Amino acid sequence: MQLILDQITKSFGTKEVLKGASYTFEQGKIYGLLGRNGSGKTTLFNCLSAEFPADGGEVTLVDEYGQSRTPKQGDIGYVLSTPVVPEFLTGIEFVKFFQEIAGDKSGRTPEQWLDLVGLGPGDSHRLMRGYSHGMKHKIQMLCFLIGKPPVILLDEPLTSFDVVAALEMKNLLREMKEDHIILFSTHILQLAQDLCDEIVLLHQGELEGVDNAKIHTPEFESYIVELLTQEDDQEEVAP
Amino acid sequence: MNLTCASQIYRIRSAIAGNQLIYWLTRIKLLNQVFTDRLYAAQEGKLVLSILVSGYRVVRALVGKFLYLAVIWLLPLGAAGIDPYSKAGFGASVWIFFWLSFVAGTMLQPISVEPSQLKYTCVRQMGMNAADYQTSEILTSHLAAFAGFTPFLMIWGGITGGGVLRGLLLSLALAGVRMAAEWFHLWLFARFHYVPSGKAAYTIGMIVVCLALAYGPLPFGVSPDLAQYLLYPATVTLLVAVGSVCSRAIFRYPHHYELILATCQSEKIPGKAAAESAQKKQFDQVKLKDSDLDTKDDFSRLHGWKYLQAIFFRRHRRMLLRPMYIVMALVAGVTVVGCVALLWIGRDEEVREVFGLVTQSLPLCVFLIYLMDNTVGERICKAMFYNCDLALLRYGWYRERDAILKNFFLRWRMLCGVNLLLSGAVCAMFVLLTLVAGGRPPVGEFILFLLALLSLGVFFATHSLAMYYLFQPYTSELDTKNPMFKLLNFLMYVVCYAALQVKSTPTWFALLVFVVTAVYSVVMLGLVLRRAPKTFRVK
Repeated sequence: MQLILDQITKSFGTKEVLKGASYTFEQGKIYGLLGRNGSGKTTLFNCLSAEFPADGGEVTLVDEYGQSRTPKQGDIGYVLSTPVVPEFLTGIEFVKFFQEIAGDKSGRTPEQWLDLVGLGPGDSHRLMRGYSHGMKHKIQMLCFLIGKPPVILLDEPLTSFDVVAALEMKNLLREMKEDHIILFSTHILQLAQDLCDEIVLLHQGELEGVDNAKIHTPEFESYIVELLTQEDDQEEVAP
Repeated sequence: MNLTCASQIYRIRSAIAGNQLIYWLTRIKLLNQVFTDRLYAAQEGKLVLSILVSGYRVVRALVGKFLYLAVIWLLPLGAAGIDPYSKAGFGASVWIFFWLSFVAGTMLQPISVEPSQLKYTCVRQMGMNAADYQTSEILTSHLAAFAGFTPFLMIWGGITGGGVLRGLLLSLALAGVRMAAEWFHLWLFARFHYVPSGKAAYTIGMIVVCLALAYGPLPFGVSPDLAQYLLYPATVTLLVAVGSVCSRAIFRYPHHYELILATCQSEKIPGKAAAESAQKKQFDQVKLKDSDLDTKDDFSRLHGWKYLQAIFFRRHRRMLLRPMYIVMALVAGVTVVGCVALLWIGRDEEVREVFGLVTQSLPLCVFLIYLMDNTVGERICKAMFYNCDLALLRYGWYRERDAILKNFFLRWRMLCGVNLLLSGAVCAMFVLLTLVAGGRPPVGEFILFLLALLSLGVFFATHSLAMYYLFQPYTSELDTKNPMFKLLNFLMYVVCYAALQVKSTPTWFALLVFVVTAVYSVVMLGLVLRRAPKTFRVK
C-alpha cells in the first residue's frame, strides 16, 4: 500500500504554510517527518486527517492491487501530541466500546488488548481521568491496533515520555509497522534516527526525502542542519 | 516627565489597539478581502490606524465625561426637584461632584496602583523603567482627565449661572486633589506596604459612603453650599500647589518598581481576571466531580453507541438533570402557590371565566417553554461537548457520518425525553390550576392546547441539538465563537417573543404549533443528515 501526496497546499491568511508538498509513503516503513518549529508539520497532519481541508492538491491511497482511492475518514489514524481520551470511561469500557464499533474480529477480550500494551487489571478498571500521559497514549495506540487504519500519523510522540514508556512505545510502533504506513513528526533528530526507516524533511512548505544511507552516520546531524538552512542562506545572499 | 517614555507608551498602546482592530477586520467576511494580515507589517497603514485609534480615544473620553456628568447630575437633581440649570443646581452639582470625583474617584482608581495590561506589558514584560512609566502615566492620565472635564465644567458653570471661571476652578481643584491622592497611595505603600483600592470591602464601603453623602441630603431639600469654600481662589491655588508638590514627590519616589511587582500581577488585570472568572463559571457548570464517577453500575447488556451514551448519561446525570429539576421545582412551586391562592380566593365566577380561557395563553407558553428548554438544552449540549465530544472528536472514527448520526439520534431521544418531562410538568400545572379554579375550557381545545405544549418540547429539543451539531460553536475554553449560531439563536428568541403578539383562536394557534414543529423538525433533521458530518468537529 502507498500513500501519495501530490501538490498539497495550505495557507492561513497570506501565509503559505504548505506550497505543494508531494511525496510517496509506503507500507511497512516508519517515516520521520523532520522540520523546524513552525514549518507546517502539524498543518500537514491536520490536512491529511481532515481536521481541516487543504487548499489544493490530492491525497491518494493505492492498495496492493494498484487500485487507488481517496482516503476515507477511518483510513487515517491521528495521535495528537497531547493525547485525548474520554475521561468518564474506564480503560476497559473504552476498549470494549471501540471493539464493538470497529467490528474487531481478533477474538481478544478487552482485558487481553489492554494487557498487550502493558495496562493490567489494576489500571484497566480505573477511570481514564486518572491516567498518565503515557497511559493515554497507549490507549490511543490500542485504537490503531484494533481498528487497523492503513495510515497512522503521530504528532510529536514520545517527547514527554519517561525512558521506559518511550521504549515500550517504540517497540509497539516497530511491531505495528508491517501493516501500516506510519508517519511521525518530530524535531528531535536522535529519535528520528533511532526509530525511522526513512526521514522526510518539511522545509519551505515542501517535502523532500533525505539520503537514507546517511541516517546512522555521525555527520547526519550537520547534513540535516545544512538542508534545513539551505534556503535561508540563499535568501540572505539574494539581493 | 520623560517624553521618550511617554511617546513609547503611546506607541505601544496604539500598536495594541491597532493590532486588535486589524484582527477583527480580518475576521469579518468580505472586509477580509481588503484587510488582510499583511496590514500587521504595513508601517504607514499602522500610522494611520494609530491616528484613528487616538482620535477614537479622545472622542470616547469626551463622550464618557459628558455622559458621566449627565448621569450623576441631571437625573438626581431632577428627581430631587432642584432645577439643574440654576445657581442652586450648580451648588448641588458641586456637592455631588465633590463626593463622587474628588473623593470616590481619587481613592478608588489611583493610576499608580491600578493593575493594567499596558503596565504589565511595558514594565514587567518589556523591562521599561518603572519610575518613567509611572510618572508618565500618572501625569498624562490626569492631564487628559483635566482636559476632558474642563470644557464641560466651564459650560456647566456658564449655563447654571455659577460662572464659567468657577467651572475652570473646579477642574483645577480636581486635578490638584488627584495628584495628592496619587502621592497618598504611594506613601501608604512605602510606609505600610498597604494598597487599599484592591479590597472589596474598601471599594464597596467607599462607594456606599460617597453615594450616601452625595445624594443623601438632596431629598430633604438640603444642598450644602460647598462651592463657596472649594472654589474660593485661595483654596484652588492651595490645592494646585499641593498637587504640584505631590507631583514632584511622585517623580522622586524610589519604590515604583516594588509597587508594580506587588500590584500588577497577571491574574489581577481587570479584563483577564473577569474573563478567567467567567470561564471558570462556565466550566463549573459542566465539570465532572469525582462523586459523579462511580464505576459500580453494570452496562454489559448494552453495546456500541448505546453503551457509550448510557455510561455518559449515567455519569453526567447530576449536570444533565439538575437544570431540569430546578425548572420543574419552579413549575411545581408556581402550581402549589396558584392552587393555594385559588382555594383561598374561592371559585367565583370571574376566576372560572378566566380559566375557561386558559387555552388563549398558548402564545405566552411558547415564550416560556422556549426560555425553559433553551436553558436546559444549552447546558446539556455544553456538557456533552466538554466531557465527551471534545475528546472523541479528535478520533476520525467518531467523526464518520454513521457515528455522528447514531449519536445524534440517541441524544435527540434523550433531550426530547427531558423536554417532554418539562412540558408535561407545565401541562400538569395547567390541568390542576384549571380544575381547582373550576374553569371549563372547551375540552377539544384544551386537549389541543396540552398537546401543543408537548410538541413544543420536541421542537426545542430538535432546535438545541441540531444547532449544536450544525454549528458546533464551542471552543475548548467553552466560548461560543460562531456568529451564525448566535444570530440564529437570537432569531429564535425574536420569533418566540413575537409569538406573544399573535392574535389567533387557540385551535388555530395549536395547529400552527404542530405544523411548525413537524416542518422545522424535518428540515433540521434533514440538515443534520446532510451537513453534520462536515460541521460537527472541534474548532
